[in-house]
Amino acid sequence: MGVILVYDGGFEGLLCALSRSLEEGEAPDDILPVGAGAQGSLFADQVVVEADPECAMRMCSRVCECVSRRALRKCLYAFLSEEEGREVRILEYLRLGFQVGAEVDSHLHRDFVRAVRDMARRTAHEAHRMRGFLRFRLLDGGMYYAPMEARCDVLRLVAPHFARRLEGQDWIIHDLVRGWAALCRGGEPSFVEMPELAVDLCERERRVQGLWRDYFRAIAVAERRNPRLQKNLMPERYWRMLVEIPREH
Amino acid sequence: MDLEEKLRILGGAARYDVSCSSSGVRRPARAGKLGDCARYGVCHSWSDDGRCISLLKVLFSNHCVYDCAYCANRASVSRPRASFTPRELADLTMDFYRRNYIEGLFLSSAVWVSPDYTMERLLLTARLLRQEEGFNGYIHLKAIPGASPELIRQAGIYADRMSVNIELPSEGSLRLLAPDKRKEDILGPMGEVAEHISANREERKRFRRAPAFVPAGQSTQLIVGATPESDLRIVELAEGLYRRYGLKRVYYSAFVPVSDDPRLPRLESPPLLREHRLYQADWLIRHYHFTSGELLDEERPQLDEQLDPKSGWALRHPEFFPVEVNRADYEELLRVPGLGVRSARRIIQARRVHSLDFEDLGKIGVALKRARYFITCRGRYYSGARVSEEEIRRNIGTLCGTSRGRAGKANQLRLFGDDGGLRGVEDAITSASGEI
Ligand code: SF4
Repeated sequence: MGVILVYDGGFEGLLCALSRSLEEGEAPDDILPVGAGAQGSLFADQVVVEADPECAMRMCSRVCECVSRRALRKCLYAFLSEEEGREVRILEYLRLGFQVGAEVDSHLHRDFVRAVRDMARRTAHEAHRMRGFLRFRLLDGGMYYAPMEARCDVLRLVAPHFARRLEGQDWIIHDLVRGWAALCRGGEPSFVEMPELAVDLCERERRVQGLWRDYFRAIAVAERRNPRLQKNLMPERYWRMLVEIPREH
Repeated sequence: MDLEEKLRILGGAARYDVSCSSSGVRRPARAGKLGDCARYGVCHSWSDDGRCISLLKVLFSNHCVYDCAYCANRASVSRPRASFTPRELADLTMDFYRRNYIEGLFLSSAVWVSPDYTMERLLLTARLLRQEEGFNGYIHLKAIPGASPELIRQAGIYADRMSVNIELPSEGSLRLLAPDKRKEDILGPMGEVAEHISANREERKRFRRAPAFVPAGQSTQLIVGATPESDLRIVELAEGLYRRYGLKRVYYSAFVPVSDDPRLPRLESPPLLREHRLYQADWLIRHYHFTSGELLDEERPQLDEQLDPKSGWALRHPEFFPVEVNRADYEELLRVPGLGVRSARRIIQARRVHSLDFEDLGKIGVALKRARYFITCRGRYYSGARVSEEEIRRNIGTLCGTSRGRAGKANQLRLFGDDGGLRGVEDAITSASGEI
């Protein structure tokens, strides 16, 4: 009879589940976040693994020492991709990592090494896109507010970037998909639950947005119009976050 | 005139400048300043023509005392004219930056009153941003042809990048189409900036805190198709600029007819495919250590529109192939059509632990569409047999059909993408990279 490990849905919890299955040496049938495995399986026991910060820390340092820091980062990014089945892929990746060390990333002929790499890359790419596509709106009261709709859970990855660059500016990045937000009033950003938020734009905001739209239209060369390329580079699913809207719409 | 109107006129007037890059400089955030610069640059949007928007790219003024035939702002045409003030531009830049619309400002200008007067306005704007507003984001300034060396030197203290657009690839064309500009007016500032950059580099070796001068380097732009220069001349010129002036980038801009001046050719549409091939050739020179002489010569002064320049070179050099992927070094891999930096790195990484066959290559994400004709895996050709040159030409001859009846519309042509699938030339065109 196999087992299904159930963890709390966070990265720390996952590390604990991974640590446990690596120690036991027996591969679980699956590793699932709590809630996802509710349907259960007739042929596997569900075992709930408690998230334990100390155990998670130990696992982190073991990965850094025995595999590489890069590998740990890859696991985190792959986890944040939110792709289904990522937990087991990460487990396989680490298991090989503990055997071959830092060289694990060269084993590209193995499916799970590629899978982890691709998931990690997707997250990194999405974070990079958000650095470009987030649009802050100035609210009544002086707070800058940016709604975010990203495919991966990148809020924690992008918040430090804006904390560095927008010195002296108060801002909120609101992850509309996951219902939480990063909030920054100087110094380090903090993270809070935020299901919904009604916002009032300040007077000046509309003017600045209008100016940006004017610019956006003026800068295109009509003879080279190329909406397909535009859409490839800036997929439509992000347009709702933007202030400027491509021509057709 | 309100700010909206100015922005429409002066943003629109800057649109033929191709460069919008914000990369090449890393400047960490500093206390009390707004902004930072990441080495890799950030694109914030893509306009309707598919070009990246990274910077607020505007002219300071489109009042011009010169009369260059190819230019929409030349003195002899009547059109709406406007000029910003340094304050207006500084505010716009700050407002846009705080909202994450842009990485910074790219400020160019027509020659308003005189080269020095114009250069001074650009300098004032940059100084206002850096000193009063504490702006720490990206600034790209045009060096105005003919402006005095001292103004250019001062501007370079605030700018991350400077550029002088050569526009016309030969002195003869310059004399014909831009009679007010002399070659020295253009190359002079470029040389000065280049000298300051290298002197600054030495200085910073000794004093690490010495302020940087134009840390992201210089770029320039050449118009393609307005004048009769061959691709050979253009590529040689670019190569010379990279070598002699240490330029970071040369941009190519397919000529868009903006006037009916009889000195200009009549084109149905901008030569986008030619522009694309030039970017590819440029990429080969900058990243893969090709020389202009390997790509073109007096017998074949034009790039083949049907074939990318690397495939063209490969077909002329059968003695170089096949390349064995399990042994070839990085540089050799880069010479294989269809293999780029990423594929070459992947191959080198993966073969450390595992000897590769064609299936493995597919798995690690190396596209074989073109490469398969030029490589062997463990001594074997793809599916066993070597094929003839014509066949290769036919198969990779990148273009696989033009849409009839729309002559001249280069962006209706279709290309094989690196991923092996079909994609429009349009997707590659206008990306201004030419990566292959
Ligand atoms: S100097 Fe020539 S190219 Fe520049 S704005 Fe004036 S007319 Fe146009």
